[in-house]
Amino acid sequence: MSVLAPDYAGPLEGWRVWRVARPGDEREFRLLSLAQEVVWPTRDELVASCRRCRLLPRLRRRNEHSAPAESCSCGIYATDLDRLDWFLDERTWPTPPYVFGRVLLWGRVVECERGWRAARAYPSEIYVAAPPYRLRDDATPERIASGLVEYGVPVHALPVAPHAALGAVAQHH
Amino acid sequence: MDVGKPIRIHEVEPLEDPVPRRETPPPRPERKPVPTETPAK
Repeated sequence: MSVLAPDYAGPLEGWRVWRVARPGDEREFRLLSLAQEVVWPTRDELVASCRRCRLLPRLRRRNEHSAPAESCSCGIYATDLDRLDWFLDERTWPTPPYVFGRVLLWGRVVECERGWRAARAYPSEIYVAAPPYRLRDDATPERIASGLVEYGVPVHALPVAPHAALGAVAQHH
Repeated sequence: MDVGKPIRIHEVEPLEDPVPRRETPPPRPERKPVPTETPAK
């Protein structure tokens, strides 16, 4: 593997899915990572850190590294729009996500076979589809979308099923 | 998310900030002290 790839003067762009929740004492909805309890900050980039290093003290001493490391699975994940369908699949997650969008990636970025793992990221466009299950507080896509405007990027409510919403977005990209 | 095996490493340094930061209000213009007349004694 080469590390002599040309540098970029603009962020790379990928697509990803998020969970949404009102974490802690937040009044509005926030984006959360899928596999980990990481809240994406508003108006500030998310910076990757290796959870494996944090959780396993012995490993931390031996193999502490900045994320993303080539030999680890750490980093902020994104993929192509064409591959996003799988991540919205109800069989992929216990609680299937219904929010997806474009994400900008920068810092150290590990290009992988089906996407990227990045050191820093921020959403650049967010789509909120209709949840495939009833939400606890009956939040609608429009209500969730209005809460996510604090990210300062375009947020679209698409009150159709996630796969249909993704299909509609793919036609325009 | 599973993105597969690493292929290449990029160092990406955007010239412009990709984050729409919260605008900080411009500093207030310094108020010059208003000359006051000293009352005549």
